[in-house]
Amino acid sequence: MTVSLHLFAFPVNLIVGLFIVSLGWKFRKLYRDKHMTIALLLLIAVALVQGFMPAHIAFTRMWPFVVVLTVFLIVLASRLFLKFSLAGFGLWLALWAGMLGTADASVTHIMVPRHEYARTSLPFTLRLEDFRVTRYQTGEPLEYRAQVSLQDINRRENPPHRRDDLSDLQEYSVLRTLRVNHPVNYKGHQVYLMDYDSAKGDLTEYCIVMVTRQPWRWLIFAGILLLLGGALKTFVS
Amino acid sequence: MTWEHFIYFAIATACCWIAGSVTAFLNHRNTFLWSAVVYATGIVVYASFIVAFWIFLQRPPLVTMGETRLWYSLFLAMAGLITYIRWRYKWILSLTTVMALVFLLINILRPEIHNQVLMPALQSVWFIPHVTVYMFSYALLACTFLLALAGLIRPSLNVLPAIDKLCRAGLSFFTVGMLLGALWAKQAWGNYWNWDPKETWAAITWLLYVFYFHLKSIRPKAYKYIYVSLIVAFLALQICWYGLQYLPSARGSMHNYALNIKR
Repeated sequence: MTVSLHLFAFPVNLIVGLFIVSLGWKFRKLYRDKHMTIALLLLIAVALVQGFMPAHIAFTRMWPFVVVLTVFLIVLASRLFLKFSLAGFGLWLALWAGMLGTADASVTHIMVPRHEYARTSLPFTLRLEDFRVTRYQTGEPLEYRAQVSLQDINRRENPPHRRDDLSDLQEYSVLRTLRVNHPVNYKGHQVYLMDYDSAKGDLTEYCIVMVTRQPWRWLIFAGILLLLGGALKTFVS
Repeated sequence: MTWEHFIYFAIATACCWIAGSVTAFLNHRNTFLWSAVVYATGIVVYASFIVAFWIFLQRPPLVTMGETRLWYSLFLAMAGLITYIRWRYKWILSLTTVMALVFLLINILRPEIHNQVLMPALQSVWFIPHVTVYMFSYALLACTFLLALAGLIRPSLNVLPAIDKLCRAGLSFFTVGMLLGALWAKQAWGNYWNWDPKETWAAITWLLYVFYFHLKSIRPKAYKYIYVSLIVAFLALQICWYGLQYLPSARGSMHNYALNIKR
């Protein structure tokens, strides 16, 4: 029942998205509060199913949920055509881009070793240079700091200059520090520090990073900002 | 100021709040002024404990359930006082007092962990606004719950105007808290929204409050249903806040900082 995300990879998701907009225009008589209330009830019902399910069963990636969310997006779009509201549009944009963008998003967990570059399927690779755990006096961790070097595989394999020049090779890699809550952006990817060998502490031989790519994130971000603006506007008025 | 001092502040606060609530029912020329001043004194005493506790901890007291309850009682009393000053319902102070004192009492009986550690996962600029904005909205929405209960029991009371204003403010703050959380989640977990159990229940709560506004607009005279929708929404909010701990489906929640030390 799970939606096969690869079927909706770009540009299919964009076409589906535009189709949702056109359906919203076609059925713009569904703009009334009555229709919105029904759509809300449907969405509440499927959200409740996810709420009572074990977290590892992603009901939100299954067809019933996606269909209801699509219906909600169509009804909300039809409403926006006739009764525009900032919060409504922000919600619509964030949900629309969030749903469709999932097909183009990727999440990869990589074990980054200390002495060699990790083997990855990404356009770049990583190596752990230094790992520091700062602790409170009580021994609990205060901060994790992983220094990694990131290397562009494409440029390493097709160097523009002489292949044997080591200093040249250095230029294809950059040093970055990863901390919890402070991901690093590199070549359109975001790199997050996830884990390390906690038994060895500073001497860990590896760290585990999560690399995400989310090309639609700017649309989701814009939707969130608009909804924030709408919420503040409601409060002020 | 350590946790041991809490009991003294709690007793002083409780005295002020109870005295203020009782004063509100008296028939005297200055009843309103006195009740408001006494109640506000309780809030100041209580808030001064939180400030001193914050300074002692050297980190914001917003991490454990017990610490969020501290704020909840504070904001609930504030919301009650604002409602009292604005709409002059003399019974609202008693209701918010009872509710605030319940949470205060839970903190005396089950203080839970209050140490100075703030784990790396919570060291973020989003942390304080995310939690305090949420707590403030929870308190405002609790006020609407109390008003809805009163309206359901005594249909002659006209509580809808107050509910509407409080709910509008409460839902605005709830939305802001949720979206600050989404922006933080992108920084911490790689995506704005992960359908983590806590997020799912926040979404359910949010949708239920939005549903209340729509129901009110299509059936403005169906008071009973309107009140019930608010009560149901408030129950969902309780699951979202602390009820999740008792829900088997939520065991793997990323929001469970007491268990996931490493995050």
